[in-house]
Amino acid sequence: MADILLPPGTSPADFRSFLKSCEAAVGAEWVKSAPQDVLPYGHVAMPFDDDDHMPSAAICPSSIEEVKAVVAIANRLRVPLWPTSTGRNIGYGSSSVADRGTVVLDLRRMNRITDFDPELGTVVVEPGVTYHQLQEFIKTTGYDFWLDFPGPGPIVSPIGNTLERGHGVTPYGDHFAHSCGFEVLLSDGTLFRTGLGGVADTTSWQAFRYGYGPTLDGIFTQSNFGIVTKMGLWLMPAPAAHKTVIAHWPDPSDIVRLTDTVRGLRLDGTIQTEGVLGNAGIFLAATRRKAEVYDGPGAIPQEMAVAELKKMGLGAWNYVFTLYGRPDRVEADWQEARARLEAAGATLIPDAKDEQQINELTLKSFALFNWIGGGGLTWCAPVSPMRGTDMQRQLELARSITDRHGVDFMVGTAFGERAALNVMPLTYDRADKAQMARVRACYTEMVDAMAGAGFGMYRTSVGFMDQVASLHGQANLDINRRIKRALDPSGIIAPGKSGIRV
Amino acid sequence: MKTLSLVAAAALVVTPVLALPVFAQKPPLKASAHKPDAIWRATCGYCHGSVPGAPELRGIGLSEEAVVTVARQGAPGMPVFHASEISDADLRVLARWIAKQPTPVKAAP
Repeated sequence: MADILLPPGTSPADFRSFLKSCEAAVGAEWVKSAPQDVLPYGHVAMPFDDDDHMPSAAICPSSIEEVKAVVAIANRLRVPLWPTSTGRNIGYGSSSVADRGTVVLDLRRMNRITDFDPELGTVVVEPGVTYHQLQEFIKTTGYDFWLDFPGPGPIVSPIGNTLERGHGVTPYGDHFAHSCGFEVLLSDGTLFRTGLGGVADTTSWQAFRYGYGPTLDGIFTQSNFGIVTKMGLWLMPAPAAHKTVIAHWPDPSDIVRLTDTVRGLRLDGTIQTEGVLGNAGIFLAATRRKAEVYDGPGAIPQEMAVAELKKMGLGAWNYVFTLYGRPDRVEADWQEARARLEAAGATLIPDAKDEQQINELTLKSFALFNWIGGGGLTWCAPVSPMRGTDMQRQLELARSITDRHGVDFMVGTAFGERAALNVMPLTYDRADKAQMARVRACYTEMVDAMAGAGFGMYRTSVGFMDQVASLHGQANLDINRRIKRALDPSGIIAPGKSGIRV
Repeated sequence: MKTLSLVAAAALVVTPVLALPVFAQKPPLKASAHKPDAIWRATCGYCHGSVPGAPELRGIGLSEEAVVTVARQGAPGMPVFHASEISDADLRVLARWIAKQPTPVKAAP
């Protein structure tokens, strides 16, 4: 096995033993160790070579019993496991692993919807359930509930996105905030439920998320303290009416007044959802190829992107949001939002459509990758408080860095009430190693520069987790390590996730 | 107004499907658990033929082996579809279904 990639710290003999034991536990068919089966698990869009974060094998259990068996084997032989749901955290690392050689624990075959409560509007799902599957299930029930999903919704899972604390674009867009109750497997085989799930014959596991005593759900998100094998999820009752609007502003400097205006509309509940604010660059990339509009070196100049958007009837900033509720409420909110947005200099397009905001699954956001081609992507996602001056400071800092590295400046912002997640796709052609190196350098500089300006990250990709974690102070690193040592003393679950190791 | 869905996600820029090797001998068709048109609607159809950069796969003479290989190995910007998601039998049936489909008629804009 000299040429075979091994899990970190694992001898060839132990790896062979691990694979053989896993075959007995889940069936030989579901132990993937041949290169043609394993290499696709290591495909990444982020600016690293696939080999940098390549797993050594993938194990695909189909039930909690099989997961427990695999974890027991891994614990005995000290083989690290990297749990994935659908493995489509694209741009954040997909199903690749932080520490090269870690074994992927592919939970896609665990795809059961185990509970549905039509009165409370809740479901319980396993990791492999996709939003498409869940939406099809809801249709069969005859009840009218909506889902909130991320951009790649049809082919990704509620558990995966929620555990990454992903966001969508409806009033249920904060996915973790709309989860309720986890079932978690620890590395020592302990299986437990958060919240009220531990109460015998519980009636309220999906109804009340806090339970009694410490609320633990959060420590299992963006972390490696356990494996979440089930999750409760709240469903959004279909609104009686809705209206999608695009508000656009002509100049990049309008970010100050638009942010301050939207903050007011979000805080008082006129606009119930984050929607998405896109700059000219990201709107252009969603509809055109770069080569069609710019053939110069480096990043497309901002003024050129804005000029192209103006030809499309849009602006330097474009805020797509939807109003939801009874028809009279939607109309009243529309009149209020219109007055305040127009007073802030916006031009409004009142009857737009964004499938993602109205429960229509789509992958149209994948068009972003047609901008350059070549499949390269990573998301740089700094958080800004919802103050216009902070938004401008952060975004101008970001653009100065992307311009310097010759990377196109794109941003899609999720507007919370008090925080904005400025999600910036850095796209490139993976076949062009120089481009990939520029994007990686750009990202690295961006993280440090944002931290230097007092801004943290909402999320990051597998390749940058150590860097981002290091910016939160030694005390933060230490407390995560202490929890890790308490719950997973052998460090077999996702070493390196969010920079956490034993 | 053209719809713009931009918040998050990924890419599907499928490129070299037509250049992949084609095996002369078709493997035997095993029992498939799912209908190919349902698999198409749940996965491929969200992108191919409807998203810029993701070409229509039906009605272009795409070989069975090309579909299977790209689904399993991925392509720049296109996610991988592992056996844990689509069984070998289902994928094989899907690939044959795609190969036999006529070119879809696009509705007038």
